[in-house]
Amino acid sequence: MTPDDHDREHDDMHDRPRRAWRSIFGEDPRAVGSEPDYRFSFANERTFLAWIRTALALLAGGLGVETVLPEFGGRKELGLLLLVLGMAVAATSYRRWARNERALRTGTPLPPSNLPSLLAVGVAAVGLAAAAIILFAE
Amino acid sequence: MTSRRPDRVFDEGLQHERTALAWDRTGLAMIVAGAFLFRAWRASIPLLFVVAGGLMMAAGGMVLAVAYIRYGRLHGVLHRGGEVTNPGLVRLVGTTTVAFSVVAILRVLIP
Repeated sequence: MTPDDHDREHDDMHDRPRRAWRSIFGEDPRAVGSEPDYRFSFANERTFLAWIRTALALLAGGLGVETVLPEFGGRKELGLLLLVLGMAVAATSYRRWARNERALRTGTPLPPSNLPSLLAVGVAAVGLAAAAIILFAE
Repeated sequence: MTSRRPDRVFDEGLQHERTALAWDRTGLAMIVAGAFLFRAWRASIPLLFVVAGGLMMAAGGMVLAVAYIRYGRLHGVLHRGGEVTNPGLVRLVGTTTVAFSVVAILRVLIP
């Protein structure tokens, strides 16, 4: 067995986790294009962090509804709606960052996203549900 | 007499500082979110949620520490020129938040 064969076997053994990793996180954005102006990279990073904080605020809100407020009808559903929204935002944030970073590196237009509108509709739904609970739960 | 001021502004627009502060705010938000799970402790509630809340608070503290170290380190990179992106750090914070959201949903679903 040559060192090359050994390497190949080693690669096969590690291929499965690597493929799973790639299916979750996609390609490393640094693999394409050239390094952009550092200010753009920082701006993209801050946007990612803003999305993460939005997710954390939704999660804290959902947990707060469930653990801080007194028992009322629809409390669990309201909490769950906030938590699912938070999870959706968190789960898409890395991919969004990587897509933006790739676009910055290759000089292509930033990809559009429908998450802001989804989030607006979701938060509005939470507000309406909370208002309905206050008005009708007597 | 020579001026003690730098000969050029190395970070116009204070992007570096604003980014470090954004990391700090995120670390603080992680601590607050973790505390919401941590303080919800009742004898009837599985220990998992208290542990997860504590871990999230610790993760937030680590983000603050990493932000501090990285802020200092990137000063050098910005002066020399070089890569400032760190996909590993971004992945870690994203994954931690998703894992936390799963535990939070379990917390609401388990009566």
